[in-house]
Amino acid sequence: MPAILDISGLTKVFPARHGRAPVHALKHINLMLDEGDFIAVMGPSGCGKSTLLNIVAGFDRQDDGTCLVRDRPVSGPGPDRGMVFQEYALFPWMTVERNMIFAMRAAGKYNAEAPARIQATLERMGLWQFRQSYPKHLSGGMRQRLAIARILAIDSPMMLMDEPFGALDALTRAVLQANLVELWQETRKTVLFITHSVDEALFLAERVIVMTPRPGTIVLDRRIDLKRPRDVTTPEFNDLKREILTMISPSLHVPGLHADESVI
Amino acid sequence: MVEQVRVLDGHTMAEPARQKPAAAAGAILVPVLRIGVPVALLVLWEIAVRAGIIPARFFPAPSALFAEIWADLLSGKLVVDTLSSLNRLVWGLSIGVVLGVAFGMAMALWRQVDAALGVTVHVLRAIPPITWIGFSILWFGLGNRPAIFLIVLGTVFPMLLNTYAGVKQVDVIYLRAARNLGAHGFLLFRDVVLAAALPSILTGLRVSLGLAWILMVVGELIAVPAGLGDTLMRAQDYDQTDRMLAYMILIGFYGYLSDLLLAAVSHRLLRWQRGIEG
Repeated sequence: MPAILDISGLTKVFPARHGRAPVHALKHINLMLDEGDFIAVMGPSGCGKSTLLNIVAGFDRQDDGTCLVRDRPVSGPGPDRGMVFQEYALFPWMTVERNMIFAMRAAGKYNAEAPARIQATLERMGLWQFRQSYPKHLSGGMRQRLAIARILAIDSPMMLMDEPFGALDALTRAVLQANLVELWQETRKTVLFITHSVDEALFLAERVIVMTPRPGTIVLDRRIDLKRPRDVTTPEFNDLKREILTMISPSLHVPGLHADESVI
Repeated sequence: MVEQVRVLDGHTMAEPARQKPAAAAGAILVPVLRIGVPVALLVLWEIAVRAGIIPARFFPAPSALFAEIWADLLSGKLVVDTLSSLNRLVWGLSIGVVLGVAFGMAMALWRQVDAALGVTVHVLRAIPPITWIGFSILWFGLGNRPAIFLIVLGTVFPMLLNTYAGVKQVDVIYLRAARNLGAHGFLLFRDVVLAAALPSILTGLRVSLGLAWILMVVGELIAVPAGLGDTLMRAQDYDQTDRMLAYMILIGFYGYLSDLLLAAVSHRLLRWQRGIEG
């Protein structure tokens, strides 16, 4: 399979501020992402995972190294890399339907078939009956479904997800995780998913990247061959979880860190 | 009487019983106060003038004011004056709003424009608009234009500052999301920047509308041989205190009505900010 994303030698340093030393957010990161893969980048706060995503999204620029999307260097944000933000980032002054129309206009994909596509996408995400509602009147889970619907409508080949379920309660989170897996199996979009939850990474991804901070580097790159639908209570799942937590715990300076999360 | 309140998920929930008497009292008392107090003031005023406590020549009774307005309404003078004044108000306010929004946007969006115009704008806005009256007559002569000029000067700065503040406050997450979806140019400007700044712009418009009424009358008192302000000035010259006070209160009433209208329009445009009942 051809690589959709090719990152090599990627380095980002945030300059010294207020007398503090400069922060090496990313140091010589190499990462290849195949078309249609589902990759989760996980690690503790400050490991550079969000910086990595922001460079791929085109919101931030690296200090060194290259970031190629389909063999072309990233030069700014664009609808080929649709982003789902933790803060939803829906436009509160637009109804659900207007948010969808705006997304398709912005992406230059608003044509005669667009209304039908919007309806089908909103129906798929269970939001069609709420099309006249403003985001303010939607629950957190519905808001994030709309944010995903928006990216589906513009048909981004790559979906960037920055801890998208981080602000949701555990039950809503579990439902959306299951929905996302179904969606990925249907569409086979390439997903780059950022999370700080080991359970989330293992439940969702085909491949898990583990990063540690100071400097931000990749310490583990592992394919997850658990069969789907995945069961988070199996011994195999727990073995993988232990393996990953062992990789992270030295960086947290907490000896014998175990399952710190009760998600799902 | 309100028995139940709607909550966000659409279910209804009984209001706590102990809140009922207070809420019920408010529901009756508030409209009574809203209408009752002004009516009571008018009645007291009328009685005071008729009883001779207030001399009618210095402060005419409400009945005399209503009679004056009724007469001017029948003669058509009131309609002519009102339309003439509104014409200047609308022109002045429109030009002030367009210039204020345009410059406020430009200064908020481009740092160079902000640097180039910032000091000038802040010095000019600190000059009371009324002090320009001499130059407005010198430059434009008598007629509509000096009054429109005054209104523009008074409204452009509140519009500019509120637009500037509104754009500066746009959350960067909306700009990121819009650019990520591919938005740029006019679509980004209209659907994101302008839409996000709209609450602040409408606040500026409300301030500007009030100033526009004041400056319209000031302009007419001095430089325009027509309109409500001109009639007010002539009434003063001929010692027609009935007409003077009647037109003063009429101007206040027009100002209030236009503010209500704008509030209703804002309410509709900003319905996305409100709860489910909105």
